[in-house]
Amino acid sequence: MKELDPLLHSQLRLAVMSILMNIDEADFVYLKEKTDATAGNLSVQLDKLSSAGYISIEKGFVGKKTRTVCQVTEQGRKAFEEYVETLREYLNL
Amino acid sequence: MEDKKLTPQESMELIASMIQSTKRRVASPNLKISVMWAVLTIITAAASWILLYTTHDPLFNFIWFAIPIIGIPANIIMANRTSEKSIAKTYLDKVREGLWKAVGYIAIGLTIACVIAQQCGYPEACLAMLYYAFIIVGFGAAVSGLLLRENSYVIGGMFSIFSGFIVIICNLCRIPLLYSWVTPLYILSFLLMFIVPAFVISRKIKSQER
Repeated sequence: MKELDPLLHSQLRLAVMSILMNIDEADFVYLKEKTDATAGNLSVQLDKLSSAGYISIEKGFVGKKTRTVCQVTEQGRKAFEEYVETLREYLNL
Repeated sequence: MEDKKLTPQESMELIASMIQSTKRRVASPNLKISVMWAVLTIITAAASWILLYTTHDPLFNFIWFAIPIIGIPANIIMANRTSEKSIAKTYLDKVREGLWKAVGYIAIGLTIACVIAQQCGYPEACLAMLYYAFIIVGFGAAVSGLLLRENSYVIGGMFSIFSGFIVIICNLCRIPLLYSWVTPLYILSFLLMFIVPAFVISRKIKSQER
Protein backbone atom coordinates (compact mmCIF):
# COMPACT_ATOMS: atom_id res chain seq x y z
CA MET A 1 0.00 0.00 0.00
CA LYS A 2 1.22 3.52 -0.79
CA GLU A 3 2.54 5.63 2.04
CA LEU A 4 0.59 8.68 3.15
CA ASP A 5 2.24 11.99 2.21
CA PRO A 6 4.06 12.93 5.47
CA LEU A 7 3.66 16.61 4.72
CA LEU A 8 -0.11 16.32 4.67
CA HIS A 9 -0.36 13.68 7.36
CA SER A 10 -0.29 16.15 10.21
CA GLN A 11 -3.35 17.66 11.88
CA LEU A 12 -2.77 21.35 11.27
CA ARG A 13 -1.31 21.11 7.75
CA LEU A 14 -4.13 18.79 6.70
CA ALA A 15 -6.73 21.16 8.16
CA VAL A 16 -5.24 24.11 6.25
CA MET A 17 -5.13 22.14 2.99
CA SER A 18 -8.74 20.92 3.46
CA ILE A 19 -9.91 24.52 3.90
CA LEU A 20 -7.95 25.81 0.93
CA MET A 21 -9.18 22.97 -1.29
CA ASN A 22 -12.74 24.07 -0.61
CA ILE A 23 -12.30 27.81 -1.16
CA ASP A 24 -10.29 29.86 -3.60
CA GLU A 25 -8.22 31.84 -1.11
CA ALA A 26 -8.13 32.54 2.62
CA ASP A 27 -6.18 34.94 4.76
CA PHE A 28 -4.10 34.10 7.83
CA VAL A 29 -6.75 35.32 10.29
CA TYR A 30 -9.43 33.14 8.69
CA LEU A 31 -7.19 30.04 8.79
CA LYS A 32 -6.28 30.78 12.41
CA GLU A 33 -9.97 31.08 13.36
CA LYS A 34 -10.96 27.88 11.57
CA THR A 35 -8.08 25.74 12.80
CA ASP A 36 -7.94 27.22 16.31
CA ALA A 37 -4.13 27.16 16.07
CA THR A 38 -1.64 29.60 17.58
CA ALA A 39 -0.27 32.24 15.21
CA GLY A 40 3.30 30.97 15.60
CA ASN A 41 2.46 27.34 14.89
CA LEU A 42 0.22 28.20 11.96
CA SER A 43 2.91 30.42 10.48
CA VAL A 44 5.48 27.58 10.68
CA GLN A 45 3.11 25.06 9.07
CA LEU A 46 2.16 27.50 6.29
CA ASP A 47 5.85 27.99 5.52
CA LYS A 48 6.33 24.21 5.29
CA LEU A 49 3.41 23.87 2.87
CA SER A 50 4.66 26.81 0.87
CA SER A 51 8.25 25.43 0.69
CA ALA A 52 6.84 22.15 -0.64
CA GLY A 53 4.98 24.12 -3.31
CA TYR A 54 1.56 23.04 -2.02
CA ILE A 55 0.32 26.57 -1.33
CA SER A 56 1.22 30.06 -2.48
CA ILE A 57 1.47 32.84 0.08
CA GLU A 58 0.95 36.44 -0.89
CA LYS A 59 1.74 39.18 1.60
CA GLY A 60 0.15 42.59 1.23
CA PHE A 61 -1.36 45.50 3.11
CA VAL A 62 -4.94 46.49 3.92
CA GLY A 63 -4.63 50.04 5.20
CA LYS A 64 -1.77 49.90 7.68
CA LYS A 65 -2.25 46.23 8.55
CA THR A 66 -0.45 43.37 6.84
CA ARG A 67 -2.49 40.66 5.17
CA THR A 68 -1.26 37.17 4.29
CA VAL A 69 -3.40 35.43 1.70
CA CYS A 70 -2.96 31.72 0.97
CA GLN A 71 -4.04 29.77 -2.08
CA VAL A 72 -3.58 26.11 -2.93
CA THR A 73 -1.35 25.46 -5.97
CA GLU A 74 -1.90 22.90 -8.72
CA GLN A 75 0.84 20.75 -7.14
CA GLY A 76 -0.91 21.01 -3.75
CA ARG A 77 -4.25 20.09 -5.29
CA LYS A 78 -2.76 16.95 -6.86
CA ALA A 79 -0.98 15.99 -3.63
CA PHE A 80 -4.19 16.42 -1.64
CA GLU A 81 -6.21 14.34 -4.10
CA GLU A 82 -3.59 11.59 -3.98
CA TYR A 83 -3.58 11.76 -0.17
CA VAL A 84 -7.37 11.31 -0.04
CA GLU A 85 -7.14 8.44 -2.53
CA THR A 86 -4.52 6.69 -0.37
CA LEU A 87 -6.66 7.29 2.74
CA ARG A 88 -9.57 5.58 0.98
CA GLU A 89 -7.36 2.56 0.29
CA TYR A 90 -6.31 2.44 3.95
CA LEU A 91 -9.91 2.64 5.11
CA ASN A 92 -11.24 0.34 2.36
CA LEU A 93 -13.71 2.97 1.21
CA MET B 1 -5.01 22.44 16.70
CA GLU B 2 -1.43 21.15 16.77
CA ASP B 3 1.16 19.54 14.53
CA LYS B 4 0.33 15.99 15.61
CA LYS B 5 0.19 12.78 13.54
CA LEU B 6 -3.21 11.33 12.74
CA THR B 7 -4.69 7.93 12.07
CA PRO B 8 -6.29 7.51 8.61
CA GLN B 9 -9.73 7.60 10.28
CA GLU B 10 -8.92 10.86 12.09
CA SER B 11 -7.59 12.36 8.86
CA MET B 12 -10.81 11.59 7.03
CA GLU B 13 -12.89 13.09 9.86
CA LEU B 14 -10.73 16.21 9.94
CA ILE B 15 -11.09 16.75 6.17
CA ALA B 16 -14.87 16.33 6.44
CA SER B 17 -15.18 18.75 9.37
CA MET B 18 -13.05 21.45 7.68
CA ILE B 19 -15.08 21.19 4.46
CA GLN B 20 -18.29 21.45 6.50
CA SER B 21 -17.09 24.55 8.38
CA THR B 22 -16.12 26.36 5.16
CA LYS B 23 -19.40 25.38 3.52
CA ARG B 24 -21.27 27.35 6.18
CA ARG B 25 -19.36 30.50 5.22
CA VAL B 26 -19.99 29.92 1.52
CA ALA B 27 -23.71 29.85 2.23
CA SER B 28 -23.69 33.23 4.01
CA PRO B 29 -22.59 35.95 1.58
CA ASN B 30 -22.02 39.49 2.79
CA LEU B 31 -25.06 41.41 1.53
CA LYS B 32 -24.56 44.64 3.49
CA ILE B 33 -23.17 46.59 0.53
CA SER B 34 -25.92 45.60 -1.89
CA VAL B 35 -28.57 46.40 0.75
CA MET B 36 -26.94 49.81 1.32
CA TRP B 37 -27.19 50.61 -2.43
CA ALA B 38 -30.78 49.40 -2.55
CA VAL B 39 -31.88 51.43 0.50
CA LEU B 40 -30.12 54.53 -0.84
CA THR B 41 -31.75 54.12 -4.26
CA ILE B 42 -35.20 53.55 -2.79
CA ILE B 43 -34.95 56.58 -0.45
CA THR B 44 -33.67 58.79 -3.30
CA ALA B 45 -36.41 57.62 -5.67
CA ALA B 46 -39.10 58.13 -3.03
CA ALA B 47 -37.76 61.61 -2.15
CA SER B 48 -37.60 62.74 -5.78
CA TRP B 49 -41.06 61.28 -6.44
CA ILE B 50 -42.65 63.12 -3.49
CA LEU B 51 -40.85 66.41 -4.19
CA LEU B 52 -41.52 66.41 -7.95
CA TYR B 53 -45.12 65.40 -7.39
CA THR B 54 -45.81 68.11 -4.83
CA THR B 55 -43.73 70.99 -6.25
CA HIS B 56 -43.47 70.15 -10.00
CA ASP B 57 -40.03 71.77 -9.89
CA PRO B 58 -37.67 69.88 -12.29
CA LEU B 59 -34.67 70.99 -10.23
CA PHE B 60 -35.52 68.19 -7.81
CA ASN B 61 -34.35 65.75 -10.50
CA PHE B 62 -30.84 66.54 -9.23
CA ILE B 63 -31.71 64.50 -6.11
CA TRP B 64 -30.78 61.42 -8.19
CA PHE B 65 -27.13 62.47 -7.91
CA ALA B 66 -27.39 61.61 -4.20
CA ILE B 67 -27.01 57.95 -5.24
CA PRO B 68 -23.39 58.18 -6.48
CA ILE B 69 -22.43 61.05 -4.12
CA ILE B 70 -23.45 59.10 -1.00
CA GLY B 71 -23.18 55.57 -2.37
CA ILE B 72 -19.59 55.54 -3.67
CA PRO B 73 -17.92 56.77 -0.41
CA ALA B 74 -20.23 54.54 1.67
CA ASN B 75 -19.28 51.56 -0.53
CA ILE B 76 -15.55 52.27 -0.06
CA ILE B 77 -15.92 52.58 3.74
CA MET B 78 -18.00 49.39 4.01
CA ALA B 79 -15.62 47.43 1.75
CA ASN B 80 -12.63 48.53 3.88
CA ARG B 81 -14.41 47.50 7.09
CA THR B 82 -15.19 44.09 5.59
CA SER B 83 -11.58 43.57 4.52
CA GLU B 84 -10.36 44.29 8.08
CA LYS B 85 -12.08 41.06 9.17
CA SER B 86 -10.90 37.56 8.32
CA ILE B 87 -11.39 36.82 4.65
CA ALA B 88 -12.00 33.68 2.67
CA LYS B 89 -13.05 33.85 -0.94
CA THR B 90 -14.47 31.17 -3.16
CA TYR B 91 -14.38 31.28 -6.95
CA LEU B 92 -18.07 32.28 -6.87
CA ASP B 93 -17.29 35.21 -4.52
CA LYS B 94 -14.76 36.46 -7.07
CA VAL B 95 -17.25 36.07 -9.94
CA ARG B 96 -19.92 38.00 -7.99
CA GLU B 97 -17.40 40.72 -7.11
CA GLY B 98 -16.40 41.05 -10.78
CA LEU B 99 -20.03 41.12 -11.89
CA TRP B 100 -20.97 43.99 -9.54
CA LYS B 101 -17.78 45.88 -10.39
CA ALA B 102 -18.78 45.70 -14.07
CA VAL B 103 -22.31 46.90 -13.20
CA GLY B 104 -20.75 49.78 -11.23
CA TYR B 105 -18.36 50.81 -14.01
CA ILE B 106 -21.23 50.82 -16.53
CA ALA B 107 -23.15 53.14 -14.15
CA ILE B 108 -20.22 55.56 -13.89
CA GLY B 109 -19.67 55.59 -17.66
CA LEU B 110 -23.35 56.04 -18.38
CA THR B 111 -23.71 58.86 -15.84
CA ILE B 112 -20.86 60.75 -17.53
CA ALA B 113 -22.41 60.13 -20.98
CA CYS B 114 -25.80 61.37 -19.75
CA VAL B 115 -24.32 64.55 -18.24
CA ILE B 116 -22.46 65.27 -21.51
CA ALA B 117 -25.62 64.62 -23.56
CA GLN B 118 -27.60 66.92 -21.28
CA GLN B 119 -25.00 69.67 -21.67
CA CYS B 120 -25.26 69.23 -25.44
CA GLY B 121 -29.01 69.86 -25.29
CA TYR B 122 -30.38 66.32 -25.12
CA PRO B 123 -31.93 66.01 -21.65
CA GLU B 124 -33.97 62.95 -22.66
CA ALA B 125 -30.68 60.99 -22.86
CA CYS B 126 -30.94 60.66 -19.07
CA LEU B 127 -33.61 58.01 -19.68
CA ALA B 128 -30.69 55.68 -20.41
CA MET B 129 -29.98 55.67 -16.66
CA LEU B 130 -33.50 54.42 -16.05
CA TYR B 131 -33.08 51.57 -18.54
CA TYR B 132 -29.73 50.78 -16.95
CA ALA B 133 -31.22 50.62 -13.46
CA PHE B 134 -33.98 48.28 -14.55
CA ILE B 135 -32.15 46.03 -17.00
CA ILE B 136 -28.41 45.96 -16.16
CA VAL B 137 -28.90 46.01 -12.38
CA GLY B 138 -31.72 43.47 -12.76
CA PHE B 139 -29.42 41.24 -14.80
CA GLY B 140 -26.76 41.55 -12.07
CA ALA B 141 -29.29 40.53 -9.42
CA ALA B 142 -30.58 37.59 -11.48
CA VAL B 143 -27.04 36.27 -12.13
CA SER B 144 -26.16 36.75 -8.43
CA GLY B 145 -29.22 34.69 -7.58
CA LEU B 146 -28.13 31.91 -9.92
CA LEU B 147 -24.63 31.91 -8.41
CA LEU B 148 -25.96 31.87 -4.85
CA ARG B 149 -28.77 29.46 -5.76
CA GLU B 150 -31.22 31.95 -4.28
CA ASN B 151 -34.48 32.08 -6.24
CA SER B 152 -35.75 35.29 -4.62
CA TYR B 153 -32.79 37.11 -6.20
CA VAL B 154 -33.51 35.57 -9.62
CA ILE B 155 -37.22 36.46 -9.41
CA GLY B 156 -36.44 40.04 -8.31
CA GLY B 157 -33.89 40.44 -11.12
CA MET B 158 -36.28 39.04 -13.74
CA PHE B 159 -39.05 41.36 -12.50
CA SER B 160 -36.72 44.34 -12.89
CA ILE B 161 -35.57 43.30 -16.39
CA PHE B 162 -39.17 42.80 -17.49
CA SER B 163 -40.14 46.20 -15.99
CA GLY B 164 -37.25 47.78 -17.92
CA PHE B 165 -38.54 46.39 -21.19
CA ILE B 166 -42.05 47.65 -20.40
CA VAL B 167 -40.58 51.12 -19.88
CA ILE B 168 -38.67 50.88 -23.20
CA ILE B 169 -41.77 49.68 -25.06
CA CYS B 170 -43.83 52.54 -23.60
CA ASN B 171 -41.15 55.01 -24.63
CA LEU B 172 -40.95 53.60 -28.17
CA CYS B 173 -44.75 53.69 -28.46
CA ARG B 174 -44.75 57.28 -27.17
CA ILE B 175 -46.74 56.41 -24.07
CA PRO B 176 -45.72 59.02 -21.50
CA LEU B 177 -43.39 57.74 -18.78
CA LEU B 178 -45.19 59.37 -15.89
CA TYR B 179 -43.63 59.70 -12.47
CA SER B 180 -46.86 58.36 -10.99
CA TRP B 181 -46.13 54.81 -12.23
CA VAL B 182 -42.47 54.66 -13.30
CA THR B 183 -41.02 55.64 -9.91
CA PRO B 184 -43.17 53.22 -7.86
CA LEU B 185 -42.23 50.47 -10.35
CA TYR B 186 -38.56 51.42 -9.89
CA ILE B 187 -38.89 51.32 -6.08
CA LEU B 188 -40.72 47.98 -6.24
CA SER B 189 -38.00 46.52 -8.50
CA PHE B 190 -35.24 47.46 -6.03
CA LEU B 191 -37.28 46.09 -3.12
CA LEU B 192 -37.73 42.77 -4.94
CA MET B 193 -34.15 42.65 -6.26
CA PHE B 194 -32.25 43.36 -3.05
CA ILE B 195 -34.29 43.89 0.12
CA VAL B 196 -36.51 40.81 -0.13
CA PRO B 197 -33.60 38.42 -1.04
CA ALA B 198 -31.45 39.86 1.78
CA PHE B 199 -34.31 39.25 4.19
CA VAL B 200 -34.83 35.70 2.86
CA ILE B 201 -31.10 34.87 3.04
CA SER B 202 -30.68 36.27 6.57
CA ARG B 203 -33.69 34.21 7.75
CA LYS B 204 -32.20 31.09 6.15
CA ILE B 205 -28.83 31.73 7.84
CA LYS B 206 -30.51 32.27 11.23
CA SER B 207 -32.54 29.07 10.92
CA GLN B 208 -29.36 27.16 9.91
CA GLU B 209 -27.54 28.54 12.96
CA ARG B 210 -30.36 27.34 15.23
